[in-house]
Amino acid sequence: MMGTDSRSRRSLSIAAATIVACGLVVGLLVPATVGAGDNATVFSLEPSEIEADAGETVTIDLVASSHGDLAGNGIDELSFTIEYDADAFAVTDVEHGPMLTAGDDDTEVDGSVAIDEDGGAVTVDQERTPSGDGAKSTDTAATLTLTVAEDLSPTTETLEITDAEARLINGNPQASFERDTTVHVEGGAPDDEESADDDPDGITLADDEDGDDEAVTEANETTENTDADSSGDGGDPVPGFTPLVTLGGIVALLFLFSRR
Amino acid sequence: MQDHDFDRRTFVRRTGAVTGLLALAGCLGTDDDDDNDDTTEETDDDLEAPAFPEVEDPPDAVYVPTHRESMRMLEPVEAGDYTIAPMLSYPHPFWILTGGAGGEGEIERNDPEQMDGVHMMFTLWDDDTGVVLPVDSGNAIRVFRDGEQVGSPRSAWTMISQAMGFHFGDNVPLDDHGTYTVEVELPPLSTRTTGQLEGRFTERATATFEFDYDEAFWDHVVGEVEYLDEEYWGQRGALEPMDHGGHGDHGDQQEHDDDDHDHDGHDDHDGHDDHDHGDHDDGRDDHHNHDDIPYSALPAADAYPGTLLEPIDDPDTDLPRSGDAAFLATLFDSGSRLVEGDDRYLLVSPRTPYNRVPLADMALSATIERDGETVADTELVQTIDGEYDLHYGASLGDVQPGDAVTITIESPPQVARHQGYETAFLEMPPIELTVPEG
Amino acid sequence: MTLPDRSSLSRRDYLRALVAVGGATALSACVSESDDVDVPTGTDDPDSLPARQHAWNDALSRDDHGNVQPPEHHVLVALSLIDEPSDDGRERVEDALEILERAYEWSNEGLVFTLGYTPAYFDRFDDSLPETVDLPEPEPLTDREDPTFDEFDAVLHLASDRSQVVLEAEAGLFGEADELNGVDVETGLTGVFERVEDQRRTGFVGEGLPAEHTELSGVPDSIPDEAPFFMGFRSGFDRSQATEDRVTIEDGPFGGGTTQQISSMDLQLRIWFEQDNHYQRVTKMFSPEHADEELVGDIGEALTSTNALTDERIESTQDDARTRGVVGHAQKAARARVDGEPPLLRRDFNTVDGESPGLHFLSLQEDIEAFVRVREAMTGDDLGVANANNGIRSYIFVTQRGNYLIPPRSLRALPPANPTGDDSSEET
Repeated sequence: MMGTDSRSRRSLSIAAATIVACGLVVGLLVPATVGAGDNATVFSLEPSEIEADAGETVTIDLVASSHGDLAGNGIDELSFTIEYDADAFAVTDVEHGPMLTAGDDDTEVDGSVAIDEDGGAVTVDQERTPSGDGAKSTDTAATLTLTVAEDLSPTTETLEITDAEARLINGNPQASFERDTTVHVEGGAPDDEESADDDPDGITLADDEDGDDEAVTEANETTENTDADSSGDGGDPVPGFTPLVTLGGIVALLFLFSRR
Repeated sequence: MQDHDFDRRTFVRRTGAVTGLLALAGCLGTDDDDDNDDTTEETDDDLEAPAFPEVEDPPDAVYVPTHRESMRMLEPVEAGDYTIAPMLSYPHPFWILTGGAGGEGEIERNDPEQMDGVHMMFTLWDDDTGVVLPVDSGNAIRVFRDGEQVGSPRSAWTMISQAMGFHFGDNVPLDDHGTYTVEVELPPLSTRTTGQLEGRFTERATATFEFDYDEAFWDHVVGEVEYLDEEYWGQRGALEPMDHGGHGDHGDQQEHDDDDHDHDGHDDHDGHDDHDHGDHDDGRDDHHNHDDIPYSALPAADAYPGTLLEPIDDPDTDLPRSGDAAFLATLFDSGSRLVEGDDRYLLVSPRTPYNRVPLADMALSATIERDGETVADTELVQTIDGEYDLHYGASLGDVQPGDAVTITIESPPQVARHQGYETAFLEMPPIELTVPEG
Repeated sequence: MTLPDRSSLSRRDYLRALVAVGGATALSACVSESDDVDVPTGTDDPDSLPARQHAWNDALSRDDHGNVQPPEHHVLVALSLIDEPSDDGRERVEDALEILERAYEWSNEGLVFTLGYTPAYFDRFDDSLPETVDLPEPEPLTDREDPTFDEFDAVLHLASDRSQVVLEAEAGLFGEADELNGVDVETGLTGVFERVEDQRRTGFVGEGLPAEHTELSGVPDSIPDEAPFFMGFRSGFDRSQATEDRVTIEDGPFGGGTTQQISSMDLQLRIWFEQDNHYQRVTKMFSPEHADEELVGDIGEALTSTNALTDERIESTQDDARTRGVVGHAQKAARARVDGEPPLLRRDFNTVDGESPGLHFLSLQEDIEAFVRVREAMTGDDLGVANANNGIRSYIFVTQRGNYLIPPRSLRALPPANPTGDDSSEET
């Protein structure tokens, strides 16, 4: 427990410094024109691919992008969990970014971070205060610092966003769309976990189509395959813990920062 | 939220966009921060997130949208000869069509004017035959809260969506949370009906249902939205039917029970039944109900009798296409139940590719030519048959093997479209067919 | 009835709201708002007024294009007889109406009015109406409507550019005002008629008036500022209206009268303005060609004095249904023209009765059958076009309908069914 305490204190001080720097760029990011899609908040881990050596420390941003809803309401709450292989990485720091402060110099982000070191998960909750018109922007919501395990063999790991949620100022949630990050450790090969699977989930593609009449029946088969996939996936991204990870417990911290 | 989050996590694991990132750069609107960007901040240069999840430059054809919507299914309601299944989602864009052969202004993207509210939908069908009725004779919807009417009456649009097939729907603004009562008034069906449907739907009927509009509704219908892998966005193709169970395959009544078993087994991936074990069980979301809600799939081509007319040009697809709509055209043997006397019946059944959703409210005509001379030129009448479902038909007295049959699409299907259908079924050149020899 | 909140409304809105509320308190509030308004007085010589009650056009102003400008404010006072018609009652009604004529000039600035009678009123007589009068009971005219019907006895239509005048006139007739524009109210309708309060209807028409109601949830901000009607376009173009002569019953004891039908309807404006674009609205209101050739302008101003429905555009309705998949409301309704002449004289007006946008579609025609034919043509069930593209029919919801005989002025006070006592078979 002592170790976790000291870590949380360190995070806090680094966070304070970073916020000042991040604050400078907000507002330069002009949202693109609203296009033909439906509205969603996009949660992206960036960079999307990264190479790292064993023992190296890397930083990864979670960038959130939202245009608000079609009526112009921005978002004022973000929460997400980033899952990772606890055997491969240790999260050493999480800093809140300024995404939710967009559009108003006088807003602050109330945020909390919880790190599940055994399970390999970082959970971030953020709230814009005061909500005002909410944020409509593309910017960093959090920056993670990870250290790759010293003895890790060449491999490809995925950092995955789960439970992503954005809430509009009227209290309604906004649909979310997530993009994960692939980390190639020691030249680990491209991850082919899903690329070989050209049987998309719940879609009939023109190329796959044998004929108009088969499509609907085909759909059934596709669906069954998917079920098999998903049950197989059940324990996949979060592997069982190993004796190496002994620092159990969850680290949580709550702090406040301002863009100023 | 916890239950819901758990479901969500499973979903993300399954469809996490691990492979899609590089392949899809071209499909995404990205913030254009390379030009004129004089920021000195590194974090900024790294931002490659899409500004907005959307499909840019979709093909002039049916295409895979960005996501699969989720909805709350309410219990079906019987009203006279009609059965309706109300469904609710959050307000979202769709396209309405006025004309639509390519004229400026004829197709209009409709963003919700107000986000507080619901996207209200219902599927209308005949419970005896399972035939979804894909036409509107002038429905009227009135919404009430605490006995007071909310807003003016409205006529829901007829719509097609890949996941839901044909349905009625509109974005309905609701300013407050609460329990709402909806009256759907259905006039007699004005479309020609034949077979088991003949003489039905002659009385007006009113269906009434209730729903709760609250935070739980929003959490449910937004939380269950499934974004697809980016690599599929904008590809030619379609979402599979949300519910392909039950009466959708009404051409095969015998296999009905077996079908249902299949569907129970693999509905789990569809997201829409996740709410069964979710946190919004208000007693109205009964999973078993929407097994009974038919998806508006037309029968497969081999379920139609008669002589299938053959396309002059060999198409890549089983059925010839126009504007990406698949056209089934068959000539019934003389004296069928669909004609008077010994005439032959020309049945033309346009449908969406992949999902066989009927394309209603088109104007079609057929020209028969023999040795370069026109021997018949006739309008095809929109008809709903208990067995062959929606089609366009005409009685022909004189048609022979070798005759050339041209199906002219005078106007495309005048139905509103959800994402993935709005660029298809607009400009529709004629279909050239022949009556096969022998 | 509570008065509207003065502080929350524009003056014009407030006056409109007072008309909707009605009654003595609304009147006094209205009078205090209208201090300096000088209302032109009427005439002591009833014979100087037209023999037809519905002869309004010559008295009303016209716009730059020669279109008749209807009065801005309208009230339809639904009336129920207290006792059976008698000579005494007739005298009271006639005297009361003559007081209105003395008090107000027959004009926009003064007052125009008609008193019409329902089939229910005439049912009480042993005689039936002469064959020259076509006044059936109202009925649903399409499969989609299920209106309630005006089953009271009569309706008084009061119309003026001055909201004060319509309020005051009604108040005077029912003992709530002693003096109308300087004329003593010696007699009223009280004792003969009682008002059917829940059937009282009000409305307004005029450029800019609909856009003053965007505080109602059913009226979107996107309604054009200058639109005279809720649907966003002008109507009542001179050359698209029947003349008063055309709608006048020629022969028989009610010669010089006319028939009036009133269909009240809810309007769905949020979809109309927020979902359909201007091109689509023009297509659905007029015709696809009106949209293609941009004939209409923002609110119909480009049409000047005609709705530009040439014979060709009317004849192409069926073709448009096939090849365009859409037809215009005016285009298909015009199919009911007789020898190229519109059969209806529209005197419809907007309403926010019930706090939601609507239309009291009031039309005059020689016989109700003419209206039924127009309505059938307007419904366009024969066109085989998708409901949403069949003119404006998916935006209008008929809730109420009444048919009326508007007798000539000489018979306007409690007429018997057969005033001359002629046997109807003798009618020509």
